[in-house]
Amino acid sequence: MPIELQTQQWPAQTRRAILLVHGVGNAGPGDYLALLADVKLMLGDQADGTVIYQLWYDQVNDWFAAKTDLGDLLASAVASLRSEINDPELGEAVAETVGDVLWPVLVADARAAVREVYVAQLKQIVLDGINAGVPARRQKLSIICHSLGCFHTYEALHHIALFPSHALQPATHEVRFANVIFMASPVQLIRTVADKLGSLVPNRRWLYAVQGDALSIPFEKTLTGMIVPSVRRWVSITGNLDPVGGFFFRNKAPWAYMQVAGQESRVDDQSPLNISSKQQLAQLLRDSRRTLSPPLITASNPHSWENYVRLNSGELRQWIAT
Amino acid sequence: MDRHMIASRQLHVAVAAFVLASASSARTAAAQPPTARFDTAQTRAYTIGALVEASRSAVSLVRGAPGSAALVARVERLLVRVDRPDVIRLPLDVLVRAPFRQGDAREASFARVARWQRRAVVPGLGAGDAADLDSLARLTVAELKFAMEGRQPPVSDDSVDIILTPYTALQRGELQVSIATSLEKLNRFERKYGPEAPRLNLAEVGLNYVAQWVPPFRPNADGWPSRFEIVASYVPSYLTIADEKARAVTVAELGLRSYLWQRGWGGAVGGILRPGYLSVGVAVAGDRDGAFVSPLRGKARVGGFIGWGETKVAVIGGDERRLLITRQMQLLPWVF
Repeated sequence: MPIELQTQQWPAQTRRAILLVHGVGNAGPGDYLALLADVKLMLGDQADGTVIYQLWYDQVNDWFAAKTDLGDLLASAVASLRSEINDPELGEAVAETVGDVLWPVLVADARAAVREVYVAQLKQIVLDGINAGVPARRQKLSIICHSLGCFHTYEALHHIALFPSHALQPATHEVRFANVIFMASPVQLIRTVADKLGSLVPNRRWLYAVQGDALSIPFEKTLTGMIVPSVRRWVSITGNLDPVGGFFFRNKAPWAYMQVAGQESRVDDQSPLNISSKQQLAQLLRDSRRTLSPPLITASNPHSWENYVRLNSGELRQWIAT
Repeated sequence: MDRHMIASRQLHVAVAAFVLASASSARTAAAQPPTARFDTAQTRAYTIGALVEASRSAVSLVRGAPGSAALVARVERLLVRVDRPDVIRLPLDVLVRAPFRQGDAREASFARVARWQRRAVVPGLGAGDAADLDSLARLTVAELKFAMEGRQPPVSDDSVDIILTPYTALQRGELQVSIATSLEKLNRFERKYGPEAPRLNLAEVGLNYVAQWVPPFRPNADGWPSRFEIVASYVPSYLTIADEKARAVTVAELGLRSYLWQRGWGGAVGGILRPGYLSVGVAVAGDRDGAFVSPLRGKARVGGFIGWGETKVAVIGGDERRLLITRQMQLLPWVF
């Protein structure tokens, strides 16, 4: 079935749009209703003046899952991760959990296809705004992404800043995101593991997460040499018990935590989840994993997207709605 | 001068007069024009002349502002070059579909380097015009806009929007074309990897994984999938007629599959006549016919196969020559 982009008519006087990008999961239209409700609750009386889009890319993942078998390669990625974590109590469970977000790194076509879905949806959002009479320079666009969705966001933003063919460059096309909010981002972790995998990662040249000396905010250099960043506010939110976001039982792992120059960082204290030991956390992570299915992330899991939105609703509202 | 050019010049004069008048009041908040909404219905009427006029309006507002002299001079040089009747009468659509705006001509193609392709990059535009217009657009939308916003008093948001309306129209057209391009890319990915694509066995998965390091097999810089895929399969289901009897023949295939991207081809829509892929390569069979006979058994019979979608025909030589036919299918997942 061909990919269908979400298109919406922006109500009069509306200049604000949000794109929600989910992580690992078999999500499709109609899913993540609880999250959508949380986002609307967070926006409060500003919700009516905000157009909310959701990116669905799992259909593309399914194409590749059916045709490729990455078992051995993923196993080697997980092994590499386990040695990096070097924690006898947490290492195994964390490595397997994080392994779920590593597979796109290993298939160049899968990366390119998901990125294309993402970029096409961004183009549709900007076009919807223009069609409603709001030129790109007046659109207030925000992205809230979670987990693997952060990786796809990072890749898509860098790609559109580089290629004029997508008509989404920050200077030439005036598409500058007001906020990009990464929740439990595995981008640095993917960069580290991809570095360790070395030549096992195909088409590295077009894997933006491994380029340069460090992760960066994408930008466009204009004809006169002016640097125009794609994102005005780049935020990283993670929890101190969330291994995908780079914390291993309250310890920040610099090799796994996304730190970008110019980034605003928040680390949630996840004590209210009542996870008192590494064994308990490891068990929770193991319980969330399912055979031949994406993990099931419940509210008691430190990786829960809904919890991140609820816990940070005040700041989110301030960033997005003002 | 046609009516669109007259209209755009009138717009330029009106906007520039309005903006200059409002700027002289020193307070931009009180200088809002009646409307700044972007009217999509108007955009079809725009010509390249509207872009030229928009840039001219922007330049007129920043001329004399501190630090803008070099920028103004650069834009004016471009304006002198492109403000010609044969250029400004062209519709915006010419630029919307220009490959240099779409990224395809960031590097000269081999055909162009070899001088096989001599026609203009953009139909209707002379040598250098396309690049000049691209530069004009980039300078206007970025540097001139920042200069308008940064001058004292600043040009109001609504005035900037009105002045740059032709560029918004250009971007709207580019987005429409670019979305169509993205969907076409995804159609190709689906043809290669989607539910109607041929299944791979484990050997093919491994070979095609390694092939991702070889340029013809990996997606290109702008994300277009490669049309090629390696075929390495064990096919026990070829059929032949020998001694007036139908027989199964087991064949090992090594070759290349090439996906056909044309619209209307592939899947149920294309049917047998217009398949989604074709394949070609070497076929090897053992020294006797039969299903599940090892292709390595005895003296090998070597030939070739060609596939037109799911239909494959092979010819093997040797002492027992055979003309074989089969259908692309996978009987055991990941195996054959």
